[in-house]
Amino acid sequence: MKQAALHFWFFQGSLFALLFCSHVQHMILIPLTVEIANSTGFPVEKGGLLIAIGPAPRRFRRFCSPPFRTAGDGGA
Amino acid sequence: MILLLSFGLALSSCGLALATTPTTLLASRFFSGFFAGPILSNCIAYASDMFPDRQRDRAIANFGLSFAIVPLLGVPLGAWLGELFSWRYIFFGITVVVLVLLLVILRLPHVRTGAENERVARQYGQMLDLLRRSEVRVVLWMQFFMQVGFFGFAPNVGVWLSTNYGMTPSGIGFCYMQGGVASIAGNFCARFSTEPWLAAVLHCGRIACVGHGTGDFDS
Repeated sequence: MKQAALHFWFFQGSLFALLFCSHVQHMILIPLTVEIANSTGFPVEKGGLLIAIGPAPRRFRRFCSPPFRTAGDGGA
Repeated sequence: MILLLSFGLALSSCGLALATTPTTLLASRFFSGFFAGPILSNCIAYASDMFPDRQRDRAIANFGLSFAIVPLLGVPLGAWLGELFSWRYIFFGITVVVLVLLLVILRLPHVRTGAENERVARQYGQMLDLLRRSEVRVVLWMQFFMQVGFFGFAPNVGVWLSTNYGMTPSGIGFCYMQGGVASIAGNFCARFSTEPWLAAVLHCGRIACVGHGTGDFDS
């Protein structure tokens, strides 16, 4: 029983951390847009595009992936 | 699927960290959206198939909480570290953490749901059949307009605050922390929002805030 609870928190915790990283990777661009734009030569006034371009493939991929969502197979 | 998406997330993060031109930056950003987007839905699907009732509910609730914690903790801390060192280190850091998590994800037990035996085309057909239901169409339109409103505004907030008010990344991150507190309060209110009038009040409040902000921008 204790082992099962430990497994639950272990797997749940790792998936939580993965989700946290994926959200941070997206949202951290908002405060850092100007710095990123300045150091890569991206036009600052178009900085919003850096954030807005992410959700487009995101939505498409979300639509495509459900039939292949045998998530716990340890692989694709 | 989670393994594949995580690997893609790590690669795209590394690409962002190494980007030196606008093209490589946009390409990395495109792929990060491509791989990171379905992680939440796949984690929820996995929790639904893997854990029994109470654990499943708790896991799904905690996965949802990850989105609320990011503005509270992740964005202010990341912005501060990015300002202190370099924004590239943030994405290198994410790459390393995701690669370490990959080792754990490799050990996730396999769950057979029966969906493996279904034809993919048939599953897409079932998904598209949902569009025949009027309530699904209404929710999709609501989501569409909500996303248009959100992504027309939120991506430009950082640039707006930096260019008009000279705010530093950590200052903008701190604004996000306040937004995170407000989102938790909003979530608390939303537990009552099965009442349509309260949902309408929350949305009107949000639109008013955005309108006030953009009015300030115009002036």
